[in-house]
Amino acid sequence: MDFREIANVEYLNQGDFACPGCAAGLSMRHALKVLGDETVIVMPASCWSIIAGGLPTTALQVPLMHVPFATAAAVASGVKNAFKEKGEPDKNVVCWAGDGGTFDIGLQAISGAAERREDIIYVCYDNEAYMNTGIQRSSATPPGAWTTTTPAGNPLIFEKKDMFNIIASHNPTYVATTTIAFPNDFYAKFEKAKNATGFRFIHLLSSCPPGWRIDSKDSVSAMRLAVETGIFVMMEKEGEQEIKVTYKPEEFKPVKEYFKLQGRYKHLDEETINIIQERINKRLKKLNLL
Amino acid sequence: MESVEYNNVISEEDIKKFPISITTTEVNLTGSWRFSKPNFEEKISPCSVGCPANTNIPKYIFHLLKNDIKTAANILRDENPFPAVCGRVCPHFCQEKCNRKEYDGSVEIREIEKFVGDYALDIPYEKAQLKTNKRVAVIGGGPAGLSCAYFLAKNGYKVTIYEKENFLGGLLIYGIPSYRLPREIAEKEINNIIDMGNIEVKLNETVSFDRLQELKNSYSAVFFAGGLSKDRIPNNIELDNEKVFSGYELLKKLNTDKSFAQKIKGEKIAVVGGGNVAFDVARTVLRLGNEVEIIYRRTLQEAPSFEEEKAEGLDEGLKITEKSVVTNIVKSKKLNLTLGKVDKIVNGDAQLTGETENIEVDKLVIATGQAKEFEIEKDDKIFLGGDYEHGAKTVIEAIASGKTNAYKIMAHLENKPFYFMNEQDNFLRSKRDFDSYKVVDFKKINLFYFDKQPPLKINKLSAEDRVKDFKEVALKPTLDKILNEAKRCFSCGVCNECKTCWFFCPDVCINVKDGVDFDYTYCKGCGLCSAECPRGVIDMVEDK
Repeated sequence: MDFREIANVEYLNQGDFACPGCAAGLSMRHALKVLGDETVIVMPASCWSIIAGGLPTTALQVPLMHVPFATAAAVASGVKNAFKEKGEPDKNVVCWAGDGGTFDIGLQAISGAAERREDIIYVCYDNEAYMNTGIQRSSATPPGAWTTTTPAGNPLIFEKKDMFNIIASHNPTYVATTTIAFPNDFYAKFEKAKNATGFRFIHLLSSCPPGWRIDSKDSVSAMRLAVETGIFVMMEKEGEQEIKVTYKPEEFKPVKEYFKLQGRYKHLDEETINIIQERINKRLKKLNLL
Repeated sequence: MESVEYNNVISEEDIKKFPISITTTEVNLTGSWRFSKPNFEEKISPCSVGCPANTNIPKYIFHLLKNDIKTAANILRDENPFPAVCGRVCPHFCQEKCNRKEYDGSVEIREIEKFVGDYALDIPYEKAQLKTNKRVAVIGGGPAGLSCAYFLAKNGYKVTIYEKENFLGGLLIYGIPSYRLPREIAEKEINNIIDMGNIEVKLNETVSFDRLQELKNSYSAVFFAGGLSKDRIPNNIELDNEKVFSGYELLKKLNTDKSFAQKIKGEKIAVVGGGNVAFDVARTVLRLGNEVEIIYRRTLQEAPSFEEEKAEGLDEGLKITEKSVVTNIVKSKKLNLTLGKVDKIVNGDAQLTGETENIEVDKLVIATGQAKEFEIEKDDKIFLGGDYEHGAKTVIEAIASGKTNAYKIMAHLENKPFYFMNEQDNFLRSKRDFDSYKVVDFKKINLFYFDKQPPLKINKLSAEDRVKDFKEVALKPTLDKILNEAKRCFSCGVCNECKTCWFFCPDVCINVKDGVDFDYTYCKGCGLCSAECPRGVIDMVEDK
């Protein structure tokens, strides 16, 4: 991707409260570059509630509504319909939620909105735990990863919730997974979501330097490794079409390389890593990638 | 249904009813969180270090890709006044060092240089201004002398070139055959240098040892690059310039006397030697319709000639007799040569096995190297350069030697240290930073941003076609192919405004325009710009 061709307009203000190297802030910056100024963000409790700045400041140049944890998709549905009533049906109403507000607490509202075919974009930036409140485990935390509530590592019996397929089973307009570490893929998917109507869901992998126990400078390379090792697969599904994997490396790297970079996997022994690797291989085979 | 006016939503009354943010987070000066900060510093690419003249290769490739070939040509000629020549005859030391070599093959820098160099042939230099009354004599109008004169004249010195032939260029004109370097290319580049001004040329002026002492008194400094003008001939052979020639003598004769080429057509010629001259002579007479045999005392593999020349020569049908020396010559109508098989070479002397072989040839050419005509000591006024100083080497090394000496002379005459000139001069920068961390190595390249792509394949005339005449062997690739190849350049250590740092800055603190600007008021010092920079231009440094 030629970065020189991306517009220089910014919708993210300087001085936000994101930690150094935060991928959530970076993802928002680029998502808004695609979505443009006709966008309204609806945001349940998440890291971004803090990043957006305390009253009376805001980190965004577009309207942003802070809403209770469980209600993002419901509020967004309301906002969108209000805009339609007002005669502004082209407004992009975007839920911007963390994995807690998506995988755990907000799930019923998302399911409802998807089922009602609400015309909204739901973006989940998934940093794989409740990072903002102190790195508590969520149902997006991958097996083996350390959190403050699973100090010995997230037990292997807990699989990361398969959000992509949960949403896909509602047959929405568009559902995709991506990460800002692959700019091409990120921009293409947001472009697709923007240009479609109906319920659209984008699952972003978003690294968290303090929570993943990585150096802030490695936050992009960590996400890149997640894709290159196959622990995170970038794919999409449009309407009734089949699932399409949008990036396949020449050869998948061993997941160990991804773990090695992160302090939250430091305690894993060889045997556990092998078990996780096998699970990844199984999933990749299912997707016809191995 | 009554709709609410949007403007009225943020009224003072509304703010009292429910909380609305009305200012931006720019009040938070997040720069205070930082403990290290990004620092933009361009570095030296390994190719620039590999190039004896330290051409700033990534920089001119960057301008070429920006469709600004004129600036590219100027950057190239700032360091080397012979890009079109070097694009043809240089053994591309730069490509040996290319970081891409480890990845999917070096960038074909030479082809790109040739392209830009050819474009530059028709662009005259800016007229040189005279800045000092100090005059420098340059002895020898070959690549070293011309390069020295170029850098001196450019910097405002008055230069006089003394050349013993009646043309400038030395080996570029009579040494390198035109199928490798078309004569008009070399002549154009030489004329461009002379036309710049500040240079006076005296042809047909042989400078002997005594004459040199005279010149020393009338000039502020003398640069001696007289080359190796004496032929080094094995003891048992005598040149007669009728049947037995030295390599350069024959090349010069063929170049100046057209009828001579006709006269020897169809003859059988033996060439002794394994260097570039031997191969040049052999390939030249082959093109004139002669049967050629190269006699070399070591194996072909050990021969010092460029690999490219050997391979092309073999393709064209050169016959090579390895591990043999001429032990005896009987001159009659033809030459009867006795070749002795070499067992091994000890301290430069060939020890024979005793096996012999007789061959009959019409001409014998000895291309076993050159030596100095006379010995000169360098002192505070005499500077030595080119082949005379470092022995027979490549064109680019001669150019580099001329350049180094030009800077040395200027430093000497102005009583300044060697590195006084221009900070931006890649040559001086890289000389200073040799072996330091500032050379970007392969590990510093972020490979994610580069897809594997094999290097450009250079098309050549087929062997059958090229032995028919003296057409250039290497064919010119199309512009598209050159640009494609230029895109493969990692641009190690030289910013090409790819904006990757800007893309990955989560705090909107980077502005890319003629380099990279950081907004240190808000930069949190995460280091993503440094880690993601594909070419190692941004470093994180401690911030107090």
